[in-house]
Amino acid sequence: MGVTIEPFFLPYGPHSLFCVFYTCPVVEAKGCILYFPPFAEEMHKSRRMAALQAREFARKGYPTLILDPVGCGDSSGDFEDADWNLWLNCGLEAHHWLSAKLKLPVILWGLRTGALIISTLAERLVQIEALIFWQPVLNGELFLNQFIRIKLVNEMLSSNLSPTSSVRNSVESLEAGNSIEVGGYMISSSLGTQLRKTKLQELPPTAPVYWFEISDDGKPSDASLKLIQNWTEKGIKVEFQGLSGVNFWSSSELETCQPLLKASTQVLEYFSNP
Amino acid sequence: MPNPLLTDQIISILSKTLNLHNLTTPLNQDSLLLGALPELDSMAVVSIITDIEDKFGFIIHDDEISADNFQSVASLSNFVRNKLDEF
Repeated sequence: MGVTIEPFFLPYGPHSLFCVFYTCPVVEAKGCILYFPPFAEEMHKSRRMAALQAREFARKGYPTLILDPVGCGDSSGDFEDADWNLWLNCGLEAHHWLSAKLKLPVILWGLRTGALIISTLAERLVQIEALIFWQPVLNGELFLNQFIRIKLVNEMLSSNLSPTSSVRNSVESLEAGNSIEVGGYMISSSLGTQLRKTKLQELPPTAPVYWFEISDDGKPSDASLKLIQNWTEKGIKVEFQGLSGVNFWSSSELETCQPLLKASTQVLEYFSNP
Repeated sequence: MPNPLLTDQIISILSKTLNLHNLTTPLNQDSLLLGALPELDSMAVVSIITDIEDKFGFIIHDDEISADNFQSVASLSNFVRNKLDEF
C-alpha cells in the first residue's frame, strides 16, 4: 500500500521547522500521530526506525508527522539556539498544524527525551488520545549526566588519559549560564538547566500511555517499573511491552527493531476497536 | 582474576550494547576492546558504563573512565570486581 511522504517546512516565528508527513491516501484516516524525536545524536541514529514506524502508522489510517525541532536536523537554527521551552513550542505548533489539517484525535509519540517533551505537551493540550513512549527517559538530570560523559569519553579516547572535564564541572558551568560543548553539540545553559529539572514522574498524563522498552526478559527496568506502578495506582492506564532488540538510538551501526515496529503498530488497533 | 561469572556478565553487556552477535570469534576474557573494536565509539562506551552502573548498582566516577579500564574484557572485569569489593 502506497504511503505518501511529504516533506515541508512549518513556519514558527523566525524559524522553519522541517517536517515529514506520512499519509496513506487510500486508507480512511481514523486519527493522527505527532512524533517528537530524541536528543542530539540519538535523533540521527533513530531516524530510520522513526521513518519505518511512521509508514506503518500511516498504512493503518494514522497519518504521522515527524518534526525536527529548532536547531535539530534540517530545521532552522543551531543546536545552541535550542531550549526546552522553544522545543515545547515547536511541538505545540506542529500539533496545531496537524489537528487543524485533519480534525482528528491526536496521539503523541516520543522516543527517549521525546517522551519527556510529549508528556509536557499533553499537559497543555486537550483531546490527546494517547501517548506512545519508546524507551522513555525518566530523569532529565541523569540523562544529561550520561550525555556529558560522552565528552569525557571523547577526551579519554583522543588522549588515552583520564579526562580533565568532569560531569560536575560541566553542570556547574551550565548552571552558571554558560553553554557547554559535548560531542560536537553546543548545549545552551537554558536547555541544559531545563532538561536537568525535567522528570517524567512529575508529568503524569491523563490519556493512556503505551510504553515500550528494549528488554531481554520482557520486563521494564527497575526505575520504569516503579513509575509505571505509581501511575497505575493513580488511575492512569499504562500498557507496557518489553521487546528484544538493540538500543537503536545509540548503536554505532544503523539498527532496526522489527518487534518494536510490529508492537507499536498493533497498538492502533485498540483505538479502532475500543 | 575476575570470576568467570562476572566475565560472562561483562561480555553479555558488551555484546548487547555493541550488537556483536555476528562476530566470528565471540568475545572472551582475553579480547581486546579499545582500539580493537570499531563499534566501541564514545556513545557505546557511555552506554556500557551506564549498563554496568545499572546492573551492579555502583557509580562509576569521572576519573575511573580511563583507557586502561577499557583495554580488554579482562581489564574491564577486573575494574568491576574491584568496585564490587569496595562495598
